[in-house]
Amino acid sequence: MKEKNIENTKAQMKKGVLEYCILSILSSGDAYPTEIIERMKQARLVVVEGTLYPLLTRLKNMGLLSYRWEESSSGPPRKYYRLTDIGEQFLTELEKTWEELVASVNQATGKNEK
Amino acid sequence: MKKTVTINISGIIFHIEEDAYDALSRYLATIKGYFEKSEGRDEIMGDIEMRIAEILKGKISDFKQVVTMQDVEEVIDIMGKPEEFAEGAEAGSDASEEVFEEDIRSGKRRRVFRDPDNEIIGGVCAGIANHFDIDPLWLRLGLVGFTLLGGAGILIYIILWIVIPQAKTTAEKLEMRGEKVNVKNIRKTVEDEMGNIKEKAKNFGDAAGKSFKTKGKDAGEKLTEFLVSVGTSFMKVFGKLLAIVLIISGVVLSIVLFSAVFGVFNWGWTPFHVWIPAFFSSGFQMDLGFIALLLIVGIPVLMLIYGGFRLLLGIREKNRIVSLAATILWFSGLGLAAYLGFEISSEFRENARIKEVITVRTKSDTLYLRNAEDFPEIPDYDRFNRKHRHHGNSRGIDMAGPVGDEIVFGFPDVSVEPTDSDSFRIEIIRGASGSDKKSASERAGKLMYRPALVQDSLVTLSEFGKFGIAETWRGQSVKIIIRVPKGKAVFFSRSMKNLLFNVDNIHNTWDGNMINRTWLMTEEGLDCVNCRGIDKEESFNRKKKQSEKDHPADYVHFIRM
Repeated sequence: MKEKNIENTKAQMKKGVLEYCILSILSSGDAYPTEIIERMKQARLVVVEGTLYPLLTRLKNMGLLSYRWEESSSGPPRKYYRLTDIGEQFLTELEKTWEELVASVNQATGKNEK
Repeated sequence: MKKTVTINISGIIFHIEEDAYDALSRYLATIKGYFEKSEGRDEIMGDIEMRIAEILKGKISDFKQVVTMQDVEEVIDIMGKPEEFAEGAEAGSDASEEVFEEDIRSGKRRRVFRDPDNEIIGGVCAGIANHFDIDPLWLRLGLVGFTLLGGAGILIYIILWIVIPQAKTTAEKLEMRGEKVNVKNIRKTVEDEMGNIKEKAKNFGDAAGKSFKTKGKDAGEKLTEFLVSVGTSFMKVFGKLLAIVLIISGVVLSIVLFSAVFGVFNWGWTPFHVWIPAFFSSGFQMDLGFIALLLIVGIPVLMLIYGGFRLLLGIREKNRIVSLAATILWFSGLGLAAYLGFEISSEFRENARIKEVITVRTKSDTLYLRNAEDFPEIPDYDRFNRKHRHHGNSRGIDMAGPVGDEIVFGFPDVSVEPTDSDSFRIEIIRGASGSDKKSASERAGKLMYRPALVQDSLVTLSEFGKFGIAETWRGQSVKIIIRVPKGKAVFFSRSMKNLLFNVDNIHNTWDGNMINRTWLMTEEGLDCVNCRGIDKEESFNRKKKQSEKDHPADYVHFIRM
């Protein structure tokens, strides 16, 4: 039970960060889920692909992302996601918030005192 | 060698080994259950399936055409198990873990199947027990109890056996043990359905807004689609309620039907079951009648229960055999009834009458008639009986009932006719019908009417006739004609009121008013001797007769006074 609680807290912490990362990745160009997940896996942010889909759907429903279909030679058509204008604005705000947050957290946890 | 199945993921066809298929469908079901509460669940599932198709496509080549268990395991590794999704889930905390723990077995909403692995007869009890997570032993005991009580258990078992499909495939067996069915989940289902309606309404609103600008036709289609889906969602919620109403009314009706036919209960005033043999001329005919009744009334009642259980257990598979069989059985019941009706009516084709004449030897010029008032007590029938007697207006058979092995019936019709002879005569005519002259007269002969008791000028008439139940009710009747010589008179005591039937007289006095008076036989007919002012009284009575039609109860009251 205790272990589960720890897992839960970790998950909660990651949740917001993941959205920020997805938006960041998409800001450098359109991508389809597998590409996004590859980059996140490299950064060891996520392990399994299943995590990504609900996030993408939610961000899309919030109007931050849009997608287009593209034919694929190796399977079904792919959804290529791109950032919308609102998404861009939101990302800028998130970046600011993230920097502030990192600074605040570091200060609060005493890691900034060198 | 391994069996493969063909599946379609995101529009791409795969051949997949059966065990791999089970694993994959279980996996997808688990994910689906996990996202049950997430917004846009269908879209997420679509994306995930699409990705799975892509991965599997990469594993198929000309040399390896079939998806194996290993492939599926790899897919699951790549996509991750739902518990690994936690970081991305909507409500990362309670929803994920709680739902997941319960759904780990299959994740799908549970459906009812007959359980062939634990069956004793047909797996009905085992299947229902699985559905509600109880021990099948209790259900079996309950069923045996019902069977011992009145045989209803067998009926319910057979209906359930037909209604519930057997779990044949692995997937069905998994569904059988899916998500728990309990109050919490039922509430969840209702909430989901309501949520669905909301979401669909929203989607519809969006779509309608868009298509209004582009195509008007599309909006119409969307509207129907929307209404249909809202309708089905409501049906699902209220269907359960309807189902319970159907089952209860079906069970109540079948109890009523069975007890009416077999006389389990005593209804107080009509021992219906005792009557039945009197209507059929043979045991075979009676059996046919039973079968016809059971089919015509029983089939719809059974279908009521059947439909109720189907609705309640959410079984959608159509069962053509059942509906076909029910239709055929019902119509054959109808055919049987028609045949019986024809048979029985043919037994009324011929009539026979047996006349018996009693000559009254008396010096008196007046014959005194009275009613013996000897109608026997009919067991269990008395309330109806007595009530009827008060209303009795002496036409044909007014009351009848079984006493032991006999049917007693009343009242004989008494009328008065002139005779050229010098003495009073009483003619007793027993009549009956039959399919031919011979059987009609045999039946009339077996009809018993105890001859009237004559003591000098006092004639006491018995008020009932009787015949054995085995004789069958085929138009038996007793008619009594009092032959009165011209110049002689007849007096009706008050008790004759029930027996007089259309007695002709020159005043056109109604039978009920002829009692307690003396009537003289003249050339023209019966004339009242001691009724001064009868004409006046008659017009008064006609008025009363009119008001009898309007207020029968008042009239009866009036007569009794």
